[in-house]
Amino acid sequence: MRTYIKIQFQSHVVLIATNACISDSWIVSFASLNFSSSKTEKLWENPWKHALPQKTKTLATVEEVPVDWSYVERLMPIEIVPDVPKHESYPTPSGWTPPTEAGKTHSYFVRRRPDHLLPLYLERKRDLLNEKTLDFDYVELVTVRNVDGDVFACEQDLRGYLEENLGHPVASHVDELKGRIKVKGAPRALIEQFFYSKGF
Amino acid sequence: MLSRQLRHLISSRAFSAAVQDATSSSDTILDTRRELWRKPESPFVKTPQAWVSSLETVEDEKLGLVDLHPDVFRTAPRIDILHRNLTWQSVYRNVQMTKMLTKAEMPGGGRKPWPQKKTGRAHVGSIRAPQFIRGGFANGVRGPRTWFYMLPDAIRIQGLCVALTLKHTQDDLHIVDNIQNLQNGDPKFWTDLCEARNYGYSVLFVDDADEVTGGLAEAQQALPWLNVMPVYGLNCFSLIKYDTVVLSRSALERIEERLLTHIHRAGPMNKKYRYMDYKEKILQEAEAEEDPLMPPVV
Repeated sequence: MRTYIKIQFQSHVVLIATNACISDSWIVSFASLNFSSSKTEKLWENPWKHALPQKTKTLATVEEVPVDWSYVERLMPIEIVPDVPKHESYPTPSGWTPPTEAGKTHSYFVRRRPDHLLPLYLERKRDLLNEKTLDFDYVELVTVRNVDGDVFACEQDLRGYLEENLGHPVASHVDELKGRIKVKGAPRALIEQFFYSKGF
Repeated sequence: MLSRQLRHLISSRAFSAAVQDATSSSDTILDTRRELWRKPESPFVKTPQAWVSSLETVEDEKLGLVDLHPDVFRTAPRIDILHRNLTWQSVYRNVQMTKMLTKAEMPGGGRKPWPQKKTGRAHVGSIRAPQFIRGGFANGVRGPRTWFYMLPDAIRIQGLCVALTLKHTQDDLHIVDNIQNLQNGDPKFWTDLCEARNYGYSVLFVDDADEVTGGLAEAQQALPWLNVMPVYGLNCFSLIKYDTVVLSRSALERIEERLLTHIHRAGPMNKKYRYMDYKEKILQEAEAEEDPLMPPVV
């Protein structure tokens, strides 16, 4: 960028064309070189003063502007799962239902996940080798987690419900310490329906 | 959100009232119950409680009862998850620096020691071949090798909850009102105190603040079995290593706040950890240790 600097020097006006950006310190050194130094201090008395560019500090002034940040705040990432807002009717269009008081009357209790959903997890596991097709069969297991209280009673009720609806036997496994039930041969939607109907 | 609520709760009633009453009269038993954030609704979950005592006297003077959050102090005793945490803590920082040299890296050995044929000796091309003594190693240990890995966040959080639960259910977790600026720094006093309260062979004091001043700091210098740790240094290994863990009230609030924040954190919990990103931090871990005598205590 080509810039021009106007320096007034003994009633002459000199225009200096420069290629670089020129800071204030350069202008100051020009001025001191020409006339101001002749009165007080010779150039050679303190050459370092003129050789080095002078450092000047500029402190920014801060002015606080009242801004309505609510529109920005709602764009910020959500850090903690918020509470569920009130809906007009349940189940919601997505099929979600909040836990009800009826859920506390059983001998077992299924806690919701932190994101307010039922703790049902799908798992696909390799089964035995199919000798006719020579491909491995796969089974789909559904794990119910966070079961408090009598896990075996929960498993009994769940299996009864599933077998009644599906019309075929359903395999299940209980891990009491972890509070988990594994179910084989039942869709997750049906298990979800069972827990919603129980009020969990 | 959680911190705001907790702060509000602390400032509103329970904690401030408890501290004020404790300073004024220690005779009456105080009700230091508090509202627990997102307490589970399950009827099978009981709210655990702990006595709050003071460290000013040798005898265990009860100042009140405090409610603990069931999600932190009453989890299922998953020993397997605790074990994963302990294993990870002992293993992730291991680095093997041994490097056994191959025949190419050994000095010399460039010349064929004797002709290939007609000497009656073995056909060899270098005195640094692996079959030679003082030869290179064919399949040696090739360091530096790292065992770094990162446990998933959920496992580490659950591990801490399990360790705290175990400590509390085994009656090895104690809550005190304050551990800063205590009057008595005499090692005899602290030995008697731990003896009178059945604290066991080793005690870990945990506080919210980075630095501890006063009597406990002096005693901690003198007694090797007594240690102090900030909340952010709390880990499964230390919780299991020390016989007794003593939390201050502020540390209790902080631990619950941090753990519950992570339990209820939005988004996935499977952040990717690479050794590359943490190498510098791990290697310079003990750089800020100021004490020339004491090594960093895990």
